Amino acid sequence: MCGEIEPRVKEIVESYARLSVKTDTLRPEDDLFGLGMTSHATVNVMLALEDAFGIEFPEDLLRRETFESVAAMAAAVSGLTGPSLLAEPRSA
Amino acid sequence: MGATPVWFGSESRPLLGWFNAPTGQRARAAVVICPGVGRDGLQPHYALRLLAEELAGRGFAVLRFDYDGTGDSAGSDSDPDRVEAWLGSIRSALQFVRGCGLDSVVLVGMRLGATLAGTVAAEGGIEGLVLWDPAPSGRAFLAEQAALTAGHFRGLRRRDDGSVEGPGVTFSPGTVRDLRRVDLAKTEGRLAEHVLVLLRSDRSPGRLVERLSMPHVEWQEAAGQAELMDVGAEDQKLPLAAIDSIANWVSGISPRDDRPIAFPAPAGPAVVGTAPDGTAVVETPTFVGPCGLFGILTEPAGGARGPAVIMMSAANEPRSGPCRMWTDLARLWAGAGLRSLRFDMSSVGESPLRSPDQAAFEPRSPAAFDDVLDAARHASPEDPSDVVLVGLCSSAYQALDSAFEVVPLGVVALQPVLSFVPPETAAGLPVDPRRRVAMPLTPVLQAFSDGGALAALRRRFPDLGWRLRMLVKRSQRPGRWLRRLDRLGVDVLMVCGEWEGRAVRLGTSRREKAHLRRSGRFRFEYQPDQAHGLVIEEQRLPTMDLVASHVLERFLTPAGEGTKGAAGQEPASAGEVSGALTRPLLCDGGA
Repeated sequence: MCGEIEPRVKEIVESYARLSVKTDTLRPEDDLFGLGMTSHATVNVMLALEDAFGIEFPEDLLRRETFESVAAMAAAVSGLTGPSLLAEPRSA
Repeated sequence: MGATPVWFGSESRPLLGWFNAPTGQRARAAVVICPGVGRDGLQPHYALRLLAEELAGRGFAVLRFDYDGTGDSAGSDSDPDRVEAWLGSIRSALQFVRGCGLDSVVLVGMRLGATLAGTVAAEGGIEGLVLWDPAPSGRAFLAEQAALTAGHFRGLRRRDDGSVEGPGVTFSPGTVRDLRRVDLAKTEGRLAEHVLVLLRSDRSPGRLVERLSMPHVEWQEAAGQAELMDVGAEDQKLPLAAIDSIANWVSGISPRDDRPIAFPAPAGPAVVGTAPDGTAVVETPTFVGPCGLFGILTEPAGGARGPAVIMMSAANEPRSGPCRMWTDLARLWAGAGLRSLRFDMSSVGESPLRSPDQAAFEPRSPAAFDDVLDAARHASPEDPSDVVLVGLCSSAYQALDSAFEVVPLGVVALQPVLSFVPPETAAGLPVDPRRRVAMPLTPVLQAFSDGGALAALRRRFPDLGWRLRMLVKRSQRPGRWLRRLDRLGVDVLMVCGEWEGRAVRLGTSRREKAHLRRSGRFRFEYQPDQAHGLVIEEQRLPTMDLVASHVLERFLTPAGEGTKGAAGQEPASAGEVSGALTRPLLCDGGA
């Protein structure tokens, strides 16, 4: 599941995270905060993930660890989505 | 065309507002501006002030205000039923402007203020509604606040009680529950005769577009919102295009002819709370010095016992202080017997510029020296030295440097930032000679900063830049000026995290430390993990407890000893004056 979600999470990171590096070399485990993602950019990424996957992050997932890498975000999204959701994503 | 401070709402729980109106006691219509909550309320304060001034210039009577329990209004954010209290504040504001004789009212709200304004507008009777970068719902707002905090701070304590922590404000489980019920998409009807929605291009509006796709709703981009909201104080840019656009729209939907208005009385003394021993806490809006800086005097109804405590706005945040700390401390100290003045430095909050060439909200301006002198003279006219200066970040620096001019009884400097580029040098002028504590950043030292050529070296050897500086600029060593302040008899409390504390740790010799230890007038609380700005509750509350206790222990005059005003009370300990008046800021076992 995470493998299918990751590319879309990466697209969102590219669009909203305002990283200080080019994202074409971004690896799933790279620390996004270390690469310049600010707290305000985290909000934009979070809102875009909610829209793209039709999910709502519960408060207990709104922690730094959830957003620190593409892999971590994909895992969180995976935990919040059912198998059918990928087939019918909400448009961004 | 300046703004007039007004109290409104319930007499037992007054709200502080700012009323701008055209000259001549006539206006076309009324506009009520609803600010955001928490950081979203502080960050755009000056922009909303500019919008009010712009609208007043176009013939409107405009009211801005602090919600119940926020800013300078009575109450606390730990009180129950916050969401209903905020909605009630908007209803009171509407009642206030209608009481001035204006039936046509436009509501303007930003962020959660827009969400709340839309909720009230759905009750009917509103001519125009402006939703400026609205939080689509209370849930979305809470998620943003939690994500903001999470993105900013590593190792944040997990909250498992249902509360949500935003930067500088914590929403209790009850407030979280009530906020989740606020949702613009679930409102019904037109909301207002005319609606303008300004959305950020880099944020999704969620279901708001679907809900408000109606002929009477106009959509615009919230231009400049990222530059206003997503940056630090020193990088903020005012959204002048959005302000102009909103003013045009409001003007376009409103009556062209003006009508007489009943101008409200300027705010006088008002009781904003009562200490557990029955002491009433009185606050009086006031204008300070010849240029009319805005401040609020807080005092116990029976008279004060000790020096006046002066709290200064930090960076671009208005006088209620970081995370509303100054308001909470002022009321706490008044309950114990101390009077205080919290004020906006020139160019910040409601205060004017000292000169036309002063930039808006410019921290560490040389004008701040004059601001502090004016505040000391205002708070203690007979002896301007009979004061205690309190500041955080840029104003903590200012408190320390102004201490050489004011020679106060004490200084409380929370996280002072001593190393910076003085604004006057950016304008090509020499460093202001009154700066004795500042450690101006030179191009070489800036190379050690983030993004600088030597930043990697600094990460490996964090103390290197500071050690070089202490070697080359021995006159700037904190040990030197701390000893001078000590010789002047100034009691100093400094609370520093790792970043702010490095200068003091590296710039004070063993001999100086021994001297300061012997005198007992210097207290250095070094808390390396403390995040700058005290926006995290688990760091802020113990620090407030420390400051509250320190000031009371050092400066509150015992009953019967040279009291100022009526006395007769025993000195209260910090723990005795918490409770009903303020949030539980005096920690008892980490509460």
